[in-house]
Amino acid sequence: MPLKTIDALQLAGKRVFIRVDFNVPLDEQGKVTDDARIRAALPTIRFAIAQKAKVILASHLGRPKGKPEDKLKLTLEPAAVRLSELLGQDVILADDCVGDGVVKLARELKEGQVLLLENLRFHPEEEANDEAFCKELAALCDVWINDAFGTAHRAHASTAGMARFVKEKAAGFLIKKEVEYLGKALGTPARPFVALVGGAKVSDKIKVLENLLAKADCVCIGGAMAYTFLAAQEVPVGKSLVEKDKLELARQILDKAKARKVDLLLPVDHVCGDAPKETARRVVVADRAIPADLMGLDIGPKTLDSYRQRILSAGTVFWNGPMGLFEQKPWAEGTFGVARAMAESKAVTVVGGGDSAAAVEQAGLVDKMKHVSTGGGASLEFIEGRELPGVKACED
Amino acid sequence: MARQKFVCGNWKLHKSTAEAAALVKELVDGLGGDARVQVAVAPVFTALPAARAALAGSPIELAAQDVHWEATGAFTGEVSAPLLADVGVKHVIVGHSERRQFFGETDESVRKKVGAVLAAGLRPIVCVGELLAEREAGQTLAVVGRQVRGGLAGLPAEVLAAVTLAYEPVWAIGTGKTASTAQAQEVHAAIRSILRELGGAVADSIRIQYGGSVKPENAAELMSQPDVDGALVGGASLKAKDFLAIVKGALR
Repeated sequence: MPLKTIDALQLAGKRVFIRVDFNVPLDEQGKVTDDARIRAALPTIRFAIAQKAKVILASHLGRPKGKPEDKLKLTLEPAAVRLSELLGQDVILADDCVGDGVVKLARELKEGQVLLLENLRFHPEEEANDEAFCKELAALCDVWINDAFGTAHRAHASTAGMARFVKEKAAGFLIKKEVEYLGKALGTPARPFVALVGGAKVSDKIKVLENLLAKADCVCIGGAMAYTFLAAQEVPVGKSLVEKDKLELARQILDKAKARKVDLLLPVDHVCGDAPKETARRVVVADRAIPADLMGLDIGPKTLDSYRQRILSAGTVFWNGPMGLFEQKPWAEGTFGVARAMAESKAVTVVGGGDSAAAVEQAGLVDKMKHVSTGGGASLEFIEGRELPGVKACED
Repeated sequence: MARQKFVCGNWKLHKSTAEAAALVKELVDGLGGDARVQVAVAPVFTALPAARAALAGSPIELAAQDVHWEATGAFTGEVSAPLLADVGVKHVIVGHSERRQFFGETDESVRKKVGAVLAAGLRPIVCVGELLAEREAGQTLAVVGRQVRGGLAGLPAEVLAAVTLAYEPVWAIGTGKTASTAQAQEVHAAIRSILRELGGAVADSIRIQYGGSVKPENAAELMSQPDVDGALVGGASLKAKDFLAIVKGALR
């Protein structure tokens, strides 16, 4: 069933609750240091304003622990200020997300006005998906729109629970875009479909790998998880990070790849150091095997070149997880090299949130990708083939 | 002169007779006879007798949420002040913003209701407050002034002392600015100066409740303001724990 989106609804004069993801990084002074998430929500917000909706926005910010200082540190006020600048109109900030004050504000809202509710997670009921809290949120609005892909894998009150108490509901444009690109990449990919999977742990990506093996033509492995795969084939990996209890799992994945005739590529050379530090000695090891006194910290140049060739000749590329310890310069080349290859490729390039999205952002290549997901955890769960509660709630 | 703080719970359209009795019982147990703060609850009409029975012997007083200005007659659907007195009501909320917005309440009907309440020996809680649009247009004091004058017009000074005002503010204005405690105090002070015009020295003994979104977290700070003499509590009055915490906040 195609996802119902906000443009399928009549919004004029209605109170439209839009769950957005304004979980933005703040500096010490409480200023927004990166407004990408706010900008990502603009198409939906602008559409609702243009349709003469009474717009009610809600988001979480950080992880409030119920301490009094949370109210000052984790207020959405900086996001309200930034949003107001981006929209060029006033944004009314409520002092809470439920209660009489908010009810009154929502009731008095005029067409085209924007009300931002205060941090949903000031109430533990949000994450607990408390029914009474769901009803309180639902009572504020006529229409529920979910446009927070970053929390779509969570069944919280605002991301899913309240939907059953609202008559009209749909997804926003951001969620639509996410589901379209991630769904297309997996459902009907232009072939060959090349997936790059990195990151530290095999255990984090096991479901993703399994699902990709069923769909991709080629899976390129990078990051520390590559050493567990090499170790599983009894290749010496020196001091590299290895999940000893996952060796059997890694062998099973290798067997599955073989059985399904998927090319599962592992690094054939490495950039190593004697410690995972910026100042460590950088050694390029031109072999699969890593000497006993070194640890692999990035894919080597030959590996990068072979992954690059795969990316350039692909029809679809999906990437999740860095190729090395890219936060430190000596071990960043593999990750940025992959990002550059994707930028050059004519393939449908999709970056699944989290660290790989951060790397693409750092490399200044966001515009060169077909899609960079805004949700790390959500995009992973989507790729795993799981149903996202925040997306499902838009469909019922 | 020191005004005793007055906290009234407005239950709005919530609670059956059994639920009302249960909530009142929790409040009675929680308050334990402490009368330092004047406390009242306003259930729906149908739950008044049940609430009255449950609060017998405690300092908690009974309030009603609305009233008609005539005592008896051909006024189908209405309840009058003498009939409220008959079921033990002491206070009557008049002119709540929801009545003004949804049920056509005007300054004129508020004035008539206040007169009827006082004539029956009951005490009115007269609600005033601006709308968001009025706040944004800088009309707050003008609107509130009109409502106070309109609602209390023609009352002699000695009767005014029986009146409580409740200011229901707008909680947010413009970009990223939440209405502050200081803004609440500003309006409360303005209301008191209007009361002084109307009643002279008696203005200093009239309680002005904050009818905003009062919660356990902000109750103490709000009621520590010089002209905030209590609270008309909405949603938070439906939970005994929260309401009692707000009453406690009035003591600080």
